[in-house]
Amino acid sequence: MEQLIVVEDLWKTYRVGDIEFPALRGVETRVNKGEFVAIVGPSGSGKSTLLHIVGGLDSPTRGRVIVNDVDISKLNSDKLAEYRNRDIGFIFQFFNLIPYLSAVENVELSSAIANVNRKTRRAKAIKLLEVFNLTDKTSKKPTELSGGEQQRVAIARALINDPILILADEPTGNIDSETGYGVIEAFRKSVENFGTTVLMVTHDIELPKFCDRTIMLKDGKVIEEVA
Amino acid sequence: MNILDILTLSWRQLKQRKSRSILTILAIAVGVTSIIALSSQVEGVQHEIVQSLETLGPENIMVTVGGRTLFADADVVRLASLEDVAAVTPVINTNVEVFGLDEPVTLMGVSSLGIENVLGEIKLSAGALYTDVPAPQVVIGSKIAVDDLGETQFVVGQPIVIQASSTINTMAVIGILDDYGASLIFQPDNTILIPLTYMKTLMPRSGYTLIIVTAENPENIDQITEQIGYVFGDRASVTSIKQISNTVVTITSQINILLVGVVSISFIAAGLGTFNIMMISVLERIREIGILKAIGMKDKSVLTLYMSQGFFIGIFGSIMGLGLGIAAAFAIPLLLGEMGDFGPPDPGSNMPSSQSSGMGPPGDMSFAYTPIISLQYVVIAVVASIIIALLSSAYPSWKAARMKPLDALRYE
Repeated sequence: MEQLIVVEDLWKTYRVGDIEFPALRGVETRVNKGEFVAIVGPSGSGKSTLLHIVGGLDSPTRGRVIVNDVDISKLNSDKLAEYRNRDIGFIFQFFNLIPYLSAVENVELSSAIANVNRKTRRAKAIKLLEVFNLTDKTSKKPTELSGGEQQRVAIARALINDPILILADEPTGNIDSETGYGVIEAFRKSVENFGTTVLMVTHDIELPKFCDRTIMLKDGKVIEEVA
Repeated sequence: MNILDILTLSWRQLKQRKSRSILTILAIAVGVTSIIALSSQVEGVQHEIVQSLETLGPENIMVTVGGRTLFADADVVRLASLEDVAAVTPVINTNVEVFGLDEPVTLMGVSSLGIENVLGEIKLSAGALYTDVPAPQVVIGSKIAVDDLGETQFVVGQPIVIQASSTINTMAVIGILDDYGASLIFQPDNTILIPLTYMKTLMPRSGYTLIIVTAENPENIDQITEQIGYVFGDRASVTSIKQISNTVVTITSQINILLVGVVSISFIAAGLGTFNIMMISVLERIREIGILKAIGMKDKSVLTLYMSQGFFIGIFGSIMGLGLGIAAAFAIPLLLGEMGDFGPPDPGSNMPSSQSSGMGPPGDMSFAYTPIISLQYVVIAVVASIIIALLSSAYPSWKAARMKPLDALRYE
């Protein structure tokens, strides 16, 4: 299978004053195109750090991250922004929607950043909200939506630019388990229907069984990969 | 992200914090309002003074007594003999009481031919001018004919009783002047004009208090002024209309610069206010900036997003300031009118106590003007407010643009 993500000898060290905290210590892993992968591990194992570096939100101290044949550790700020906008769909634990924009405006925001014209992006945003059963919520502000609805809006936003990779950081951490399974179902559909790759960080021991593979991290190192 | 989408997002952010945005816009508007309102007063006053001076004729030179000795016929002859002098108009002024009026008025003896040099343009609302005969005929100012309450005091043909030099004289009103308004030189509305020949019979020992010298050509004014100064020395004070006009323009221009300087302090205050609000806005939105960057917004778009908010504040502050400034510009003269008569001090106050030079009236004096909103100051105010708003937004916007997406997302 074709590889989408190649992580080679990835190190990340945070420094607070004179003290160094190593978050990643030489992580090596590969993710194939169209794979649904869970990253698990105890708190402080480096799961989110790995996800952030792969998503271009953080930079490595050492090592390489190649996504879709591009070494993203070498991209400048503008190129990284383009990469995040075009290739990545982020989903966060706390949804991170813009409070003064409606559901449909939140969904189309990534598309607006990508310079897609207003009519096309609005039509696509409405269609995505339909897919996630949010047709009657398009004009609602995030504060008028439930946690599950907000997370579905966030997923729709992540999908609007047809990203090759969805990075989800504890996507079910702030919603009830039933809605959480709905979110996983949405990822699964995205993988099967559009060939999207999903990399999901989770604490939930039940979720990895819905994934193709699980990468286990401990103390900043990959200790096991389970298919 | 295209500029229209950035501006839309920027506008939505401003709308989200309505009251704060309006207060920031108001802070900017205060500066614009002050500049427009104050500069328009100075421009209006300047225009009014210069215009009233110019009606007196740019070719005229006012020669007033410099000490206590009034001018004699010989002085008039000397002035008339000067090179390039077209005409000489001697005038005798004195303050008199009129029976039926509470305030003293100016009695001005001037020849019928000289009236035009005194008034500029002759405007009569009723009757006619007198001829140069020593007869007790007078032309009265509009405010003598009709008082402040609008009641008619004198009409053409009616006798008027005047007390001048301890004598009581009854004269006939043969003409009434139209409304002239105020002037720095002369207040026709509160003046009674009588033939110079008759004035001399009333005050046989009096000399002339004022001589108006008319040059053949306005270009020779400076040269004639110099000659008169040389001939009379300290005995006379020589001022040309052109000189007064130039001085007024210079002084009012300097006052305007001073006012703009003072008003710019309010711009600094508005700038600091805008800076403060923008910093708060950026700090409140750090997480939001993180989201925008996480989904791909570039640094320059974030910079534009926040700079455009400064631009909006500047633009709306200017528009609001212009509106308020124009309203205030026209309200100020009305307020001053309510508070009392508005006018410059009487420049003739250094004259002998019973007689005035004619440069400034006794008693009531009001000064009416129309504010002039100068395009120059509108442009200065608008450009300054936009620049201040942009400068105040520059650092907060730069700070927002430079934020690392992950740090911003983690901000609590």
